[in-house]
Amino acid sequence: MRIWRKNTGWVRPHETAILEKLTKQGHDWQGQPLSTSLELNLNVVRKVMGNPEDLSVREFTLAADTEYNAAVMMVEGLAERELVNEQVLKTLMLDVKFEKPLSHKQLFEQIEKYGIPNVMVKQNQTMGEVLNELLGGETVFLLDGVDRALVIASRGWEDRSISEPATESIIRGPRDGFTETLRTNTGLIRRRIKSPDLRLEGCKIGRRTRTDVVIVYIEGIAKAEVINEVKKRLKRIDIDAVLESGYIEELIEDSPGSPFPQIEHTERPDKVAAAVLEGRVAILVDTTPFVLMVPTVFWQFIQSSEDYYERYWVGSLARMIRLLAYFLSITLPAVYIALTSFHQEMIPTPLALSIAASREGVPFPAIGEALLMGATFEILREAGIRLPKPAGQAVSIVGALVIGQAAVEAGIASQAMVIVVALTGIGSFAIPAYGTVVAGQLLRIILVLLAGFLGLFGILAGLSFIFIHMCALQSFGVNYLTPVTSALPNDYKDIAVRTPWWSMRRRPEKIAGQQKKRVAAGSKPGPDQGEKKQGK
Amino acid sequence: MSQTKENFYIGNTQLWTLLASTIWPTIIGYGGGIMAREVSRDMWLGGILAILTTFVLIFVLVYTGKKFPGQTIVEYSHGLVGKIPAKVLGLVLVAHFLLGALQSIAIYVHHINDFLLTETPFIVITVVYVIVVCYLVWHGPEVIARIGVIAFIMASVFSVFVFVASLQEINLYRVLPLFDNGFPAVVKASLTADSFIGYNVMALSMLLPLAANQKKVGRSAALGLFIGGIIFVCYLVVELMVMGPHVTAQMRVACMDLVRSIQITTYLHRFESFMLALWYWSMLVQAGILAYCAALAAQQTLGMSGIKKLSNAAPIALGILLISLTYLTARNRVVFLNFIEHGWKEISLPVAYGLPLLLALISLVRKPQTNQQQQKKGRR
Amino acid sequence: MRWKAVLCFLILISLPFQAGCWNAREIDELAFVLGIGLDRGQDGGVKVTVLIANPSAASKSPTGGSAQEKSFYIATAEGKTFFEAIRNMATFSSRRIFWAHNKVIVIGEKLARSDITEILDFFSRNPELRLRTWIAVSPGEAEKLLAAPPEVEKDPATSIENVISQRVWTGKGYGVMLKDFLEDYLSTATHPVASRLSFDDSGSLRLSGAAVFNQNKMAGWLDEKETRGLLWLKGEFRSSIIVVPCPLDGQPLSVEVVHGEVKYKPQVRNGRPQLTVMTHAVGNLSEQACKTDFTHMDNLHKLEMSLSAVIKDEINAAITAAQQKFKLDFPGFNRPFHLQRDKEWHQLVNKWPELFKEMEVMVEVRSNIPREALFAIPLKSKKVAPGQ
Repeated sequence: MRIWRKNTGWVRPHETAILEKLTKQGHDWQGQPLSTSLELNLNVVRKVMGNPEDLSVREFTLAADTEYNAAVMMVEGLAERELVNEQVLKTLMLDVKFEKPLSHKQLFEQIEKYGIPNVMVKQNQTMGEVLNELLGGETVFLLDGVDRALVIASRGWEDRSISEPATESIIRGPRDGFTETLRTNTGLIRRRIKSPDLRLEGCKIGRRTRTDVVIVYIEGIAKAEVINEVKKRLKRIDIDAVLESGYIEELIEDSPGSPFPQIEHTERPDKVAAAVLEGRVAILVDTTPFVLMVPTVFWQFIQSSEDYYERYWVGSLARMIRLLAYFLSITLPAVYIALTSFHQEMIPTPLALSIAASREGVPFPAIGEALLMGATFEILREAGIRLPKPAGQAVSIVGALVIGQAAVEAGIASQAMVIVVALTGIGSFAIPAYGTVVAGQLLRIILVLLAGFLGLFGILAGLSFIFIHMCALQSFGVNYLTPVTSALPNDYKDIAVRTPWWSMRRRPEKIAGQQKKRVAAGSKPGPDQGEKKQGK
Repeated sequence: MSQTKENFYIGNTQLWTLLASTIWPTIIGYGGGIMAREVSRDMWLGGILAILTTFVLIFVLVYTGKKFPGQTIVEYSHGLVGKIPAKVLGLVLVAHFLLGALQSIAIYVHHINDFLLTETPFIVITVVYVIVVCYLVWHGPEVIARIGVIAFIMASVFSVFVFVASLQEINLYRVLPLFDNGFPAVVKASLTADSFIGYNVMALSMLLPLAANQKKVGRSAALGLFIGGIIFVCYLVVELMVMGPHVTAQMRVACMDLVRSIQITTYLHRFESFMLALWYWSMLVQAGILAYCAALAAQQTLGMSGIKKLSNAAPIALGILLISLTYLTARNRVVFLNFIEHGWKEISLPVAYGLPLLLALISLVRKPQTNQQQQKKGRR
Repeated sequence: MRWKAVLCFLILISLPFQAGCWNAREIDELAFVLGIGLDRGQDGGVKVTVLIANPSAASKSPTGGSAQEKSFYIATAEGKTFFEAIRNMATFSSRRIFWAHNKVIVIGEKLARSDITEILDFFSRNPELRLRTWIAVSPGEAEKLLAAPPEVEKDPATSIENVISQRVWTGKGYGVMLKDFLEDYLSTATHPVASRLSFDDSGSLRLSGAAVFNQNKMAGWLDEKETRGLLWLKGEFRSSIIVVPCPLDGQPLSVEVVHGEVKYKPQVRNGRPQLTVMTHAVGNLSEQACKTDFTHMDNLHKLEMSLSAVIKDEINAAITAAQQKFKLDFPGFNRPFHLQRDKEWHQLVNKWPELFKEMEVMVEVRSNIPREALFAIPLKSKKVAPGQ
């Protein structure tokens, strides 16, 4: 499009050629430097972006002096219009003052130094940078006759307000959760760790999405190898789009073939802050509230933030119950099948007679029954997730029991099997981490099949495979089952139980790099403990 | 393999839990019955004596190992006895470890086949178990050590159960008087027990270079033997008290009958399968570490010395070898029992105890030369 | 890489279809054997009677089973050996006989008197049966004993098991598990003893007395007094009642013995063994018919001496039975010698049967009665007699 401007006239023909060449498909316009012609720059931008209807271009003259033509570009919806109006257009159009005999370049420098009252004002030289900043939500200021552009911070878009995370609700503890804006999220973490050692390093991942990804860690606590490994793996990612942290998780994990998740994710800032304080590295991804934390060990998946805020009895009991529930949900159906089909001598006599009585008339063998009832329960549960919230939970549990009862009365299943399946399902609800639960379901099916084949020995063989696999699984250099298998008694304080804060004096051995101490000695409280000594 | 670093190591705590969980399952096997047939009620004294003599073996192994840091027994024997004898020694060790792994696997398969799954064909159980063991060996000694910690925890739980359940059966007449059969007979019985414990401790000779804290490795090994030995001896005592020396002597697999004869509460009256699930892990670790040592020794003997990692083909070859050997030798329980009871002692004791002693003596004598020789030839 | 996953998947899917090939058996195709009875058969073979539970009637929550349905049934089979008899049961039993829940082995007297080696061999060798089964001998046929309908329990085997487990309350019956019976059977000098189960006059089950075995043949019965003595000698007497005649007027008193202890002191003089049995009994006075006031210490002492006399009497009865009636060392007198006089024992052991018969056994009993239950003074009516 050609615009007639008094000073520059029509766009010159060779500039049209440049325009055509630049905006041809496949041409690398990233490194293309800006030209001094305002018109060309604007036209290139418009051409490359395909004339989007949300691109606002305001061409004006500085201080009403027609000698200096300028333009301001921003993308509606990404940049905050009020800010652009007030800080950029108003100051530049109305308030700017300068001495008259000033070259364009000098004027540009003056504007950059004291012309625009904004926190971030910087220069850009290439077309690629200008477009990236523009699409990031910043405002671009172009002055005719200067081959630079000024980028002014102006991001502001509609964002979800901070609310309680939907997937991780607790009884006691902070209720703020991450949102989809990276800056808000880093702010939430900074609010909790006000130490200057907290490092935030950013990069952009994804060719087309150019998603902002930020690594957070505490210098001096996190291990240098882990930090470098994280950076290395992130740099390796070469993908079109990163829409969620899950994409990154799958691209940087150690064993993609393993059913167990090796990277933990959370919506809670307090969880991330705690992880970072233990020496972990957090990865924040723009446009998603789920933050990744590495390295991860299996025991984290049975822990919840609440364990740390309530008193230690509550936390310890809750963890032991969760561990028991998880173990039961994986092994109970298989053990039931093994006992009733292979090792009936193991069952106490009255119970054996009861089970035999309840199984009379049922046509399927125990393993067929288990698979059938198990599948029914899983279908009900999946259906319950899709239903609206109040109805969903009720449907899954109550529905399963009702269907189970009906199946018993119809003679398709036995009562003992319904109880087993219900216990299994409820056990899997007790675990806070969904990925681990699904892994457990997969393993449960494998164990059931093995139990039907070789009874208790089949279960043992299956469990051996699972345990050996977990013992060999690494997550950024740390074994998946640390610290139980590394036999570090100091770290046992935080696995199945949660010992009080005054007793967890050192950070986890394998996670933290240096600076292991975190609680001073003699912190156990009491009525006559006296003054606390000064110490680290 | 799934290691991110080249040099792997076993922490010292892992070392002693590994040793403890390898040593105590020797009682799960034919050892109890054999010793009861030899010395009836003094078998626990034979056990104590055996553990004490094994402390000497550990001392010898650690002493010789410390002179050649970072090398397994196959490697440093090159420097001590020359090339050809070292190869012979290496082959002997490979055979020894292989027979040990074979025994461990065979005993476990017999347990399953004779008590739990009586009609399943022997080969099926063998194949499944050997697959698990080879999978474990494929992952390497680090993973074996980690499973060793789990095995130790399970073994402790198991021991507590057994000892609590046998409290109501305490009968001192069945374990006393001391040295009823005379001291020489007890010494003979301790040699039998040594033939079962020896090859497990020899695994230490192959694992020493991997220990993280080389200075304290002797202490860790001794602690492992001590704890494994305590469980071992207590188990012998409990077997005697619950069943009595004559009944124990009747049985082929005495420990399984022990577990079937005790009862924790009035309603859980048959929990031997649960117990089996608890000591299964220790047996797995035992078979795994012995198989690993056999494979590593084979690799190092057959001219690939200096290699610390197992090649990927090793577990497959190992698996095939173990399955066929087990099927051939252990399928007939009578033949197997005769071999263990009458032939194994003469083979195992010279290799497990004599060989390290010999190497230690040689290293005392030839010490100045061997260091130079090693440095001249470099680490082959 | 993908073919590996496919292969694994195929293997896993095909696994459950193998089930049922080898060891898998559904729980409702099993016949749970709760008790076994062994007898001499018609033509010199053996007759095996098994007590099988009927799950629908025997379970807590029967699915539609009526209350009249019997919760057990009896099956009998004969054969030349035990195993053959047992396998012959399969010819008419619709379910697989499952031994693992067996609680008790009852041997008929005729079979016990002929030879029980085969029984012991079969039951200890078999992996399905446990060594913790009760073993008992019945005068008459074991089949009749097992067939008796139980009063409260669901089946006779459970009644037998409970009766044997609770034998401490009466102190008149003896209970032994297969493993301990086998240990005595295999030992060098002790002879095994089994329980005695019979019917009393009203037709209900009774555990009283014991059966003494001379190696593999039964030698005879012990009556209740001798059994009590045996229990004292083995140190298994506790929580039982002893009836003691009141020291002053001979009326019966009940003392509940809460703690019984026995210590042996063996001695060897001139190559002949001598044994001192020291018993210590602690009891409560639980019932008195006489009017003596036992808060007076002399009366209490007299009572204690009475109690000691009764206990000594019982123990002597057992020793007489062992030394004179049967001439078998079933109380296990060789054990204190083995334990405490080790060196001499090795010379004595070969001649033990003869030495045992003439061995001098001295019994000392010491009793204590520290409590009289809840009473302080005896129950005495203070009513005024008519005519006063």
